[in-house]
Amino acid sequence: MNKVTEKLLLEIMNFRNNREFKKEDIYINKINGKIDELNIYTRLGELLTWIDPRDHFSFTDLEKYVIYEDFMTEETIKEITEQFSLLFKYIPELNEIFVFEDRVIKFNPSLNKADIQEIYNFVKTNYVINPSHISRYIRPKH
Amino acid sequence: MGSWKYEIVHDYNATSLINEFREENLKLKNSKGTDDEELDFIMYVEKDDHTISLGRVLLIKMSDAMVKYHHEYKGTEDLPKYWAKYLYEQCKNNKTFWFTEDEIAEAFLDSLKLQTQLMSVSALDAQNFIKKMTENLSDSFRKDERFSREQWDPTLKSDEYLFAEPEKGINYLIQKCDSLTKVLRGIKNQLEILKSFKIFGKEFKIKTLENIIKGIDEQIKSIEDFKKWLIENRDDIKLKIPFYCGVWNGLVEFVAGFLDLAFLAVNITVSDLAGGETNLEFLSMREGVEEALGAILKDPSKVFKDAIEGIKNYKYSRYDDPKLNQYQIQHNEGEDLVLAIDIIITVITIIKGIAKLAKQLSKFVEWIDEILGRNPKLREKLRNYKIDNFIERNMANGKTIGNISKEIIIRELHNVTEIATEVSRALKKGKIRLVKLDEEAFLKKIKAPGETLDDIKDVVACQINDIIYLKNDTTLDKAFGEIVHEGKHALDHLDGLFKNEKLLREETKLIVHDKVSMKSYVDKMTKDQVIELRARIAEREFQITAKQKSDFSSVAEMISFIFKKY
Repeated sequence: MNKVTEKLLLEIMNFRNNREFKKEDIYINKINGKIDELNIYTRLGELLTWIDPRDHFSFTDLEKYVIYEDFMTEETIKEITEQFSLLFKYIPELNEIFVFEDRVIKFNPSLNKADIQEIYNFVKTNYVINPSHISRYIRPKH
Repeated sequence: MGSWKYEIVHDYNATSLINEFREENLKLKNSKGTDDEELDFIMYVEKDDHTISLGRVLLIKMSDAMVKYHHEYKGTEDLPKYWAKYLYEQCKNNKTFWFTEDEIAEAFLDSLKLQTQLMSVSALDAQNFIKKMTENLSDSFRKDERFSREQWDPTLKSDEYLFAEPEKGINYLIQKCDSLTKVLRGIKNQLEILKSFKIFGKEFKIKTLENIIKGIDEQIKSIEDFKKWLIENRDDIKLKIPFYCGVWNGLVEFVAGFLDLAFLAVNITVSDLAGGETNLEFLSMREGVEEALGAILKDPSKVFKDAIEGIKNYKYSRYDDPKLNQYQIQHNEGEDLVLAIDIIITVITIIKGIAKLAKQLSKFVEWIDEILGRNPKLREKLRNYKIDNFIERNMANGKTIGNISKEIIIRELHNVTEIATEVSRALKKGKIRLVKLDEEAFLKKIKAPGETLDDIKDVVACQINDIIYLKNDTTLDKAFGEIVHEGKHALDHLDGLFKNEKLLREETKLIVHDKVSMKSYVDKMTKDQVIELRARIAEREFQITAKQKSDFSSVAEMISFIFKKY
């Protein structure tokens, strides 16, 4: 995995855990102020979840990530598409890992299976979700 | 030159005729053409001693050789022009035979179409067959079976006006009942033929069809009962003719809507078998169809019974509209009475909640929208139709949250409570996400390094950042509340409350739940407890409004649980 990808992924993980743009975040800082912070948080979260093997289930499509769900309105899908477009425009380094076309995100074709596996492992090893971002539901017993 | 050999099976038992027609007939198996002595076709004719036709069975089954000959070489002229005439001449003096030459010709042509379709053994053909039935129904059924305005509104002074002698009004209603029964019997007979079909030589049975056929049978019985009731109440009818026409028109729309749904259900099943589309939109449509159809089939006669009750309770002209005359108002009240029946409201809620389904059932939806457009009380009733009905219905069918699509979850959460609506909206806009998992995948997902399965055995749902994780086997009476609970956590997280403890406490102190202010509790709680308090309140509010069993009988009990567990 090249240094750019590594640094970019760490920045995204950090942003997801702290919701802060830090001075040293040379890549994601480029979108700071360009779109709503909440949308950056949500869309980067989707990208990170897609490449996190702990979020790979029997129904997960590992070939492509469709950015919308079927129950969404066309208006919502357009909004999400626009947010991803801006994300890829202002953070072109994302193209080192992904390609975004026709409402679908795929791995950059230059990455081979081993590269992708390396990305999965990197995320699994380095992305420790902030425990305060997690809540567990316990059903009361009567 | 030889000729086709045939046999006529003339019997009172329509079902056995249909079954014989559907099953492979060994008598026809050896037919090679006109030159041999083998049987080439069988005409199945229902015996009838009555003059009024009520959808009697007339089916013609031809051997493969005969079908092939007419389909590929000869064309279809001989069948209607020669054979229909010949058979008619032979049978016309039989007192239990009531069919015309044209009807025999039609049976030949229908059989040819059906048999060529079934011979080519493709699900697509079966779909086209259903599509043709559906189109015919949509085009003619509503028009033929309803009373047109010209027939009941004397102010139009139309030649079609039927009720110049009001005391004879009952006769027209009886005619309509008979006509509707006849049409339903005809449809039922066609559906019987489709109960099973072959794809690549393998036989498929459509279970849904058996239920639909039973449903049609029940409706036929209900119409007969309704007819009897009308005859008993004939003196009332002459005084309220437009009203009764309105009720009748509403019932016709209901039956038409039921049939549209039924055909759609069959089409979906066939499409499934043929490996058709299986995207989420399609799946949610299928889910909606199953749900709506299930609601009707639970008690197919209920609408007619409720309509009779509605008529009994009818008080003359409850609302006024200066743009309408008294006859239109009466008629509309009759139609509205049918739409207001609970089961129809249920079906409407389901259909209108799924865009693609509403589009597929456009004629039914058009009728609904017309009535809702003129009747604010019904609009209100529809708005108030609550999630508890949905939960009860689907739990009775053994469904858990894993069987409910996200589209339906979003629809059902909307408008229950303020927070449930916020969660619903956030899911729909893709701000938060919902992931439903089987037990094993769920536990694997939530287990932190170093934890054992025993440590997490009591956890049944989870929120991580903006994602809600839920177990597929969660029962519906619990699941919706848990989505609201975890959804509230996700929303608070997105709103930055997890990061800003001061704001978190301030906002929570303002909450008054079940007439109890949270101010004093917040001061005694840790940050995590305050976070949990907000979600428990959202869930409890939801449980109360949605008429589900509340986890806590009082606020004090809830607070005590939070102090103990978090």
